[in-house]
Amino acid sequence: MAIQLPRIDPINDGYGRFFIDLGRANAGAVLFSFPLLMTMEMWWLGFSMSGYRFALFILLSMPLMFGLSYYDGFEDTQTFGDDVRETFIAYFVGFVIAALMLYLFGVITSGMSLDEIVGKISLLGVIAGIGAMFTQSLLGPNSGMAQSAEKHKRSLHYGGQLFLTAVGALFLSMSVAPTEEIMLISYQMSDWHILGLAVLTIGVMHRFIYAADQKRRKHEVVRESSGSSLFFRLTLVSYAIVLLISFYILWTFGSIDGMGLEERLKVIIVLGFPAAVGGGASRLII
Amino acid sequence: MATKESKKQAAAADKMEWIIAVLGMAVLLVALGFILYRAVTHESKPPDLSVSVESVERGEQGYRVDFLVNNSGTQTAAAVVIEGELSNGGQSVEKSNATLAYAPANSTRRGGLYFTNDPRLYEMTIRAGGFEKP
Repeated sequence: MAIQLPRIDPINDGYGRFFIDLGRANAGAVLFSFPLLMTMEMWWLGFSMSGYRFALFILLSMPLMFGLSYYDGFEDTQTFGDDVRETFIAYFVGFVIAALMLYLFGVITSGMSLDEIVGKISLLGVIAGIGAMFTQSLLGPNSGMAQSAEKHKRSLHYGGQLFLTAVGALFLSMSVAPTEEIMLISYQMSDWHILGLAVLTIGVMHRFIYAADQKRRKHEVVRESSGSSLFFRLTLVSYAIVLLISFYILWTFGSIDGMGLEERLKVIIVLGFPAAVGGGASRLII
Repeated sequence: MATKESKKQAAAADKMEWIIAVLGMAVLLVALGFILYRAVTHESKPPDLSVSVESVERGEQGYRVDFLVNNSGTQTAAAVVIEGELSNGGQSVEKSNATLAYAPANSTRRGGLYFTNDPRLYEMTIRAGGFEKP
């Protein structure tokens, strides 16, 4: 005998759709922030980071989240209000996940000051919030063909492409930036190694951009573009953005404070590699 | 086709989304406000560490002294070395030390020191030996 299961129609059932969206946002927050929730440097940053830089980081995350919602979020947003709402739902999910996981991992215990608790939860909450928003393109119904045509178009324009590069760069570089290894690698490398890595990074970026360009042509956003124009218009500009993001993250985390100019540049280029891969990949995914 | 019932549900879900969004906004603004407030009112006081003994117990490896480190400064101390010494009339009997990864500002951290001699029979001094600025 067949058992009658309650049917949830994700399109017409309001609650069903809402919970599916929220569940997916949770999954996204966890998926992206897990490596960072389990990195001790990240917990320490929550209280050792400069207060002003921390506040700036939180402030800057808002337009970033808003932009992500505009280009690709966990719901099909039509209006400005929709994007605002989606942004703050993502923050909420991020903070709840961060607080819960940090508590379960024993990172937050009694005897800690309010500064420490708020710092730890806020830093990872914002990151998990970005994760909630970002991973939608990997898990959401909007991934691939089902994405609304309008959103798809938005993300394929020049500004959209550069924005997504910046977000992708932030996304991947943040998970390695707080670790000691980034510093160690830059100390181990000679100037020639650094130069080689920079050339390789630009090469990898160009491959990604070339692939993304094929996608754009398929959607007829751009008509014709030669390889060299692509290189100057997109690859070099993207690499500049990637290096800026790399610098910003290292500055925010205070990793390069007190270092010499040349040493700083080396670390920025080293971190620029994962950042470039993240930036390049995100334009293909979204 | 959407029925009347599902339309009502959609409206309720919409309301719930807004409630969660407002909650998210509140949480974020409170956190941001708190961090900014702390940054502005932050008088930079270097780490001020004090160590107090919580308990002395016999263990497999001799005696264990549990201590509590309190940092009352507004700056965090890293790689905090805790030094313990047992002495008898000014003569050092035994030394032991432990390193704490961090003693964050306005927070406490716990740790333990091992001694082979019974600390209760000697004069025990436990102090923070030094730290690194993170």
